Amino acid sequence: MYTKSLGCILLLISLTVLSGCWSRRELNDLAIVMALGVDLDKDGYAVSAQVMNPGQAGNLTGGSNGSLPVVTYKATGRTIPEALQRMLSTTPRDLYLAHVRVLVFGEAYARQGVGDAIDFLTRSHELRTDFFLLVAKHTEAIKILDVITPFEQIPANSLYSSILVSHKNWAGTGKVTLQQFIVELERGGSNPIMSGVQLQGDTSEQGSLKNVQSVIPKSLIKQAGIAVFKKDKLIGWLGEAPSKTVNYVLNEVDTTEGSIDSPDGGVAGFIITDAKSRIRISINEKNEPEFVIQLKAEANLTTLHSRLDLSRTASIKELEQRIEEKFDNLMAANIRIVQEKFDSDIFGLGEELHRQYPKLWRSYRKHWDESFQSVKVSVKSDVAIRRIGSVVQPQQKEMEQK
Amino acid sequence: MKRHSGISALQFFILTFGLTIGTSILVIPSGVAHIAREDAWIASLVSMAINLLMVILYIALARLYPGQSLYEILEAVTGKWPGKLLSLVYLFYFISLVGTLLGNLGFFVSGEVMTETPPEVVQIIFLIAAIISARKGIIILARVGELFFPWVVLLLLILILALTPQIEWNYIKPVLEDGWLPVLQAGLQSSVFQEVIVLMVFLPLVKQQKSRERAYLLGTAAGNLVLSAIVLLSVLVLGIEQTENSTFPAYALAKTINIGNILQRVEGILITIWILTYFIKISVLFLSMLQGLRSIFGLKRQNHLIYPLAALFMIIAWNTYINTVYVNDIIATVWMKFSSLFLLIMPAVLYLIAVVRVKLLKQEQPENPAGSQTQQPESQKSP
Repeated sequence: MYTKSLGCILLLISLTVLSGCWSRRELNDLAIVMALGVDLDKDGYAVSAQVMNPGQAGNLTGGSNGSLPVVTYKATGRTIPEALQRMLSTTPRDLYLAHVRVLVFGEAYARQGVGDAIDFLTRSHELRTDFFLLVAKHTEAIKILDVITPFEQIPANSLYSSILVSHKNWAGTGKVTLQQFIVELERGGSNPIMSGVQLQGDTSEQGSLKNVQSVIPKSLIKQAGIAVFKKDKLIGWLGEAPSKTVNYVLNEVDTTEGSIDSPDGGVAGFIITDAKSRIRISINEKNEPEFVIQLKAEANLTTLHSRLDLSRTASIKELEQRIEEKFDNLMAANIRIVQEKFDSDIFGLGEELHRQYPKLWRSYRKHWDESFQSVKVSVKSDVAIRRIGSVVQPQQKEMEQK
Repeated sequence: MKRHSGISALQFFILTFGLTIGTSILVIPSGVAHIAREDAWIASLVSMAINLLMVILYIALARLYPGQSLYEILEAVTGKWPGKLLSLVYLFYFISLVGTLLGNLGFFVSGEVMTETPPEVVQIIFLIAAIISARKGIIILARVGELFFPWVVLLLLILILALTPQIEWNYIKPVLEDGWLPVLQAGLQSSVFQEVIVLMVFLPLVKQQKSRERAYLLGTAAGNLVLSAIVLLSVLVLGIEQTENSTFPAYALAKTINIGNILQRVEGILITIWILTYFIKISVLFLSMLQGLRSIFGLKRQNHLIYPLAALFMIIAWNTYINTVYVNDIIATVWMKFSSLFLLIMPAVLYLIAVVRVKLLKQEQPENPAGSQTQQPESQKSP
């Protein structure tokens, strides 16, 4: 009896001593990295890390010693992990990478090929695969990580949410996680994309609080369209309209705003609330594939600058037709631009061919990128206007009747 | 071993289920996706069919010698001394299995989860748990399995449901691009990692013949179905390229779970499933080896063998699992042939010999009815 209860007590005591892990890392020993930047350097890599400064997070006006909520460290090395370890000579704490939200590549490095960086990112057990990849358009990654942003105290969070917001509501920018990038990169019939970021405004004081101490911030980070990759190398940039087209084809559009010429002159503005695309493939008599992008979209009317009589169903029909025409022509033209400028199938047409006609794909597999430039792609859209808003007749028509 | 108390059919089902999932859940998708590409899920179903065929073979063999364990059957079929020798060969197979299993544990935990912990520490701590379960015996293990099972099922359901929003159906197209050959090859290769033959040692512990056979088959089927689901999900969520190039694809899969930015970073679910089933697998192997040693050398007790065996496991684990690349290479080139020798070829040969023996005895029966009386019930039960 005694031995039993003594044993129990000993077990309970040992609980308090034995708890914890071998490789425990306390929160106050860690520097949580929110964003990473990778640039070229003469040594190999220049890596910058934006680290949260937990003592200061929560008061932007400057804390007890006036330091900022984030610190950006920079170090160089022959490999990325080497640079990160070297960075420890300047940081007071161990870097913790599991919470990285965005990773920015400098344009120069992206043009040279990001494959080796991707290798580190996927091989490291600490990094996850769900953070966003970005390319710093016309600049270095460290410049992007060296901006103080309004609203969000942590610039990395600001970048992260602006990717989400602009992708969801504007659709002219990309949203690519490491996971998606690898999948597209390793496939034979498609090439990856990344979204771009850019600095805007006067960048002289971007890294200090003065940047946000005016109503119009001196410099801002701007989402800058889609970066086209061929395998792991950046080969070019897409402007706003082609970027939107790419998102439509990749089925990534959530909502976006557009405008057309109204039938009686003037302008009609509409918002796309739902868009779904499919790639149809037909084989022509020369045994070549022809691609049709079928787009099904729902739109709401947001504004009408004309005297169109909206009480007639025929006017809605006409508006729908005009939107469809605009989609068909503009998207086909934008796809043409991508085909002519880049020998890189960012739409994944080859992968679709692989799925639908595996036998035919075999003859294209080896030289798909060249064939991509000459295949015929057309767009067939089907738009339905669902809602016209809270009033019926446009203001111009109302004024005229009085 | 207390034979009189026995284990129930449900407990046997759970042991089979745990043994099938064991470590396979972590590593299977990568090898299958490497060979069968988009058709990995078909390959894993093929592997299930092969596994079930194996179990049917084992059951047929066991029916010829009811109430006898694997080692006793070996002796009964081939004679006393060759049987003992064959049992030792089987023990060698089991022991190399435990070695690689322990190595796998150490490398997975120290490589992906707790990187600063040396693999040896993880292995020793786990081995202590296995030692406790070996001391308690198979009956206690079966009850433990019964306790684990609802949790394993619940966590599997959570895992599968949490992954469904990320499914990309396009990732498994085209179906059967290169025909059936790679599918069959991949299926055959992955069918040798479930090692359900180990449970032949404990099959006689379940009393009713019908229910133990059903439990054996259903356990194998259920375990393999879970494996197929994991393979399918790996391909649907990660795509073949990532599945094939990951050291632990199922873990990479669990890492991607993210539902509305709220439910994320729950790879612990997968680790728990794996640890629970892994515990069953390694304990069953441990106990089957003890049983084997007892049966071969005619020992009365077996518990004093536990610690030397455990030490041997560690040494084997440290020397076989040199690094992940080496093990993958062995698995791809050697293991399949080595393993199928024990899982398929030897049982098949044994079965043929056993059938011939029993038939010959039947023919001899009218001449010498008194001598073969003891064999009579067995020959009647042969299928």
